[in-house]
Amino acid sequence: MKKKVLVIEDNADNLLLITYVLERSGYTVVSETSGEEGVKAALREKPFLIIMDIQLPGIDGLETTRRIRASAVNTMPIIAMTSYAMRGDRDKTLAAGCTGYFEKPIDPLTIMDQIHEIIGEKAT
Amino acid sequence: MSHNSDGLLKKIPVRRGGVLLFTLWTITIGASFAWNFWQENKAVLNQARSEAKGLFHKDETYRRWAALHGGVYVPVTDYTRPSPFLAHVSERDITTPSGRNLTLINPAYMTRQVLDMTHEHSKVYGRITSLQPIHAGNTPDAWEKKALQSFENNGDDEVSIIEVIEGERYMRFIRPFYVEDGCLRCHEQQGYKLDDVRGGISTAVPLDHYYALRQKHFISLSIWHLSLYLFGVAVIVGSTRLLGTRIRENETISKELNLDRERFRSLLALADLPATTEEELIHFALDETIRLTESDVGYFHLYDEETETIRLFAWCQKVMAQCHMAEQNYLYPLAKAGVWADCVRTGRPAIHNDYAALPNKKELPEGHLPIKRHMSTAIMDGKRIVALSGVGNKEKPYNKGDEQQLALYMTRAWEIIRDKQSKDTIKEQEAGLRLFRNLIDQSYDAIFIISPREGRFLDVNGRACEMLGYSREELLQLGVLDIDVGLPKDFSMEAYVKELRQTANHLMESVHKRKDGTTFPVELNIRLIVHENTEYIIAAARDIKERQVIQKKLQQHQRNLEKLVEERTATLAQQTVDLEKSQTALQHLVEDLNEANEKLKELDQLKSMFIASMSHELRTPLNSVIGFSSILLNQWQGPLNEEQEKNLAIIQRAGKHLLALINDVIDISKIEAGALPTECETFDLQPLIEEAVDTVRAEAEGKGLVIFQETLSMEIHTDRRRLLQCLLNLLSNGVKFTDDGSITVKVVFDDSSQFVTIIITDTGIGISREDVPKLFQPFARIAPPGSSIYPGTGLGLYLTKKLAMDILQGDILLESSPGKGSIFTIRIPTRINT
Repeated sequence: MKKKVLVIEDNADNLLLITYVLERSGYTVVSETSGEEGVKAALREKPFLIIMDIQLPGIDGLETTRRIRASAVNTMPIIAMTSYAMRGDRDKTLAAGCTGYFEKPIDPLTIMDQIHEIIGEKAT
Repeated sequence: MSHNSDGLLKKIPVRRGGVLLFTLWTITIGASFAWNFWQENKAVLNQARSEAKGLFHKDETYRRWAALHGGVYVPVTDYTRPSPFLAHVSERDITTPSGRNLTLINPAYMTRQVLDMTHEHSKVYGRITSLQPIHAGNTPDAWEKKALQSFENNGDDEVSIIEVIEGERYMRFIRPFYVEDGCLRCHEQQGYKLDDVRGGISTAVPLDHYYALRQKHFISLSIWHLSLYLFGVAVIVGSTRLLGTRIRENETISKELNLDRERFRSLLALADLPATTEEELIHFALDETIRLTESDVGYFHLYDEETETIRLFAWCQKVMAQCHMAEQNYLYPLAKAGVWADCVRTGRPAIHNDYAALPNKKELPEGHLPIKRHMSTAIMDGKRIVALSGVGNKEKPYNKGDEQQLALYMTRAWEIIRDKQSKDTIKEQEAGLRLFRNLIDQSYDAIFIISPREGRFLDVNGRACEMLGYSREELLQLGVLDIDVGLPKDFSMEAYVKELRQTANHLMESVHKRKDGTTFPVELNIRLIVHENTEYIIAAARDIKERQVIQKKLQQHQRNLEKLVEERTATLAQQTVDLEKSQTALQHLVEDLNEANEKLKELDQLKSMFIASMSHELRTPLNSVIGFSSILLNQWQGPLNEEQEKNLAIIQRAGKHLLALINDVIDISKIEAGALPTECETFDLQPLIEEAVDTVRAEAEGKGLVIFQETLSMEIHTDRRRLLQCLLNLLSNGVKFTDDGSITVKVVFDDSSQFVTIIITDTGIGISREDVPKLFQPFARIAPPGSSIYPGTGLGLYLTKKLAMDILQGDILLESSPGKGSIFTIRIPTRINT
């Protein structure tokens, strides 16, 4: 059975890109476009990994991460992907409970290797 | 000084004479002792020799007696056996008719027996000896042999020597004996003739009791000489001392006489000192006293009995030069003064010849000259103490004479000053009076001194005479009523004086009449004074005719002025209104400006927000552009034809370019807002440069360029990320504008400097000198005409310079020449201040 990854991303193009890359690497992708829905999906789907955009409508990625970390399912890695290139964002995301941090734009050729390195799993 | 050297000259011969005498005496006694001892020794030895000689003579006499008889016959006993050495003599042994056996004893045999007997009774040795002994026991020893030879050859007749025999000192003595008739009987056969030296009698006399005698004589000689010597020395020392003392006494007396003469002369000089200031006089007196008491330092201070304070007045020059006490002229309460002021407390002179040992002295203030001896005296004026003076540090102790000198001299100095002061005071008072009188006469006001009873003038000043046209003498005959014509008809002097007694000062106007009958208005200032129980009226009169004229003119002027002021006030009111209007306008302007400023601030915030959101908004689509073009280019979704691949690469490159542009814009806006924090760390420069070079290496090698590195390993403390960014920008800039040749990175560091310099040289297209400043401006595009446009954000060098200056606290320089290449020099501190 394929492992499940939850992607919370409001931009359809970027969602498409990351979904493509994840599926190509052999994961099942579940996606949500808002923080609130994302929290529900995390409880429901119990994904193996969450990819989190930071700028989201409603509650942002940081708050979403905090809520997931405060919920019953709080052990999976959460990797933040953000186009916030401001310094300090990295620390903020890690403080909120994220496991890793990527700055957009991502490089589809190397992103999976980097994710695997963070979550400590060999590429399949 | 002269008496000192005289004394010295006198002193030296006395001492020298003493020493000479002493030496002579010592030599004489020593010589006498030695001579006496030598004589004594000689006499003792002569005695010993005499004894030996006596012994010899005795023995010789016996011998001769025996020789005379050609030997004698004695009975044969155990002790006296027939001599084997006389065997050749006929009738050596005979028998008396009674049958007794007799044997011949020759002189030698007899002498030997006698001498042996002598030795048995005393320590004296004795024997006969010969160079040709018949009896082997008579063989001479070395000394005897030598003596016998000298008798034979030189005709000597005695030899003696002192020798130690069996641990005792002996005098050996030998004399020869000669061949006589009697001898030939036995010795003719040996070939002796008459008067030949047959041999000698050698004796040895013990010397010990002679030496004991000599010792005894030596002791008595020593005692005698020592007594004589000591007596002589005592006489010499005593007389030298006595003489020295006499001379010194003479010196002291003459010195004191000289001193007295000096003192007297000096005292005279003090009185005759030409008109000088008090300070000079005191200094002179002080210096003289120091000189005459042979002191080193001195002082003179005034004393005020009422306040019990000492005013430090004068120190001698030496103290002034050597003392470094801060204040030099100030009041000093007696209670606080040290032992040096004891003379004031007791009223008696004080001598401290051992200052250091004084029990109740205070510590000297810091910088004060050290004091060894001190003497001070109070200076009296009648029964009053007016001053104190002291001297110190004389080599010898101070004595009564010094004390008298100090008191006498400084008292005299005080008297001269006092007399001079009182004379000066009178002169000054007189001069003051004259000045005062003159001033009074010159006064602008006429001044009258008036008797209160009848109003007569007691005195007037020059101005009064001048104003009224009278002489002083004439005026002194007149009174108030004669000149004042402005008084009321019922004026009464008595009533007026009563009124005056109530008021301090009476000011009034009146009219005075001159001698020629003309009148003039006056202002009078009158007061009643009491001087030595007598009342006087003093009136000062001022001619106010001119003043009245001036007053009228003034009143006129005032009226004109008032008018003028009114006019001006009206103008001013108008101007004020205008000014108020301008001010209001200005206030509006300031308000507008503030508003504009607020708007600008809002705009600035808007700009920041814009940049932040632009960053996000631009990155989001770029994520898709770069991401998908990358997927397609990587042929994940199927193969591409050549053209598709080429075009996709263009899309991807454009996307990345756009991303770089956005990043640069964000950095610049942050630097400009001062919002880019510096993140310092300590690291090695070399790996950093290698990292930068590695990043551009692929691109450079793709163009066929060589990259040279001349780096060195060194620690620096700065923002590593920003320095890397700068170097990357400069390196990729170099690669971009160089088509063939090389890029060189060189690190220059001088230990003494706190800066490190990184030089990046390329062999690219370069730019002209005038374009150099433009290069660091944003969006500068300096392309040689006809060349293709080079890709880039146009912000790279602008950003690099900003980073180098604002973040790394350094600078960037560019040297370039078209067609040859460019040299970028980045110079940054090795340790930046955060």
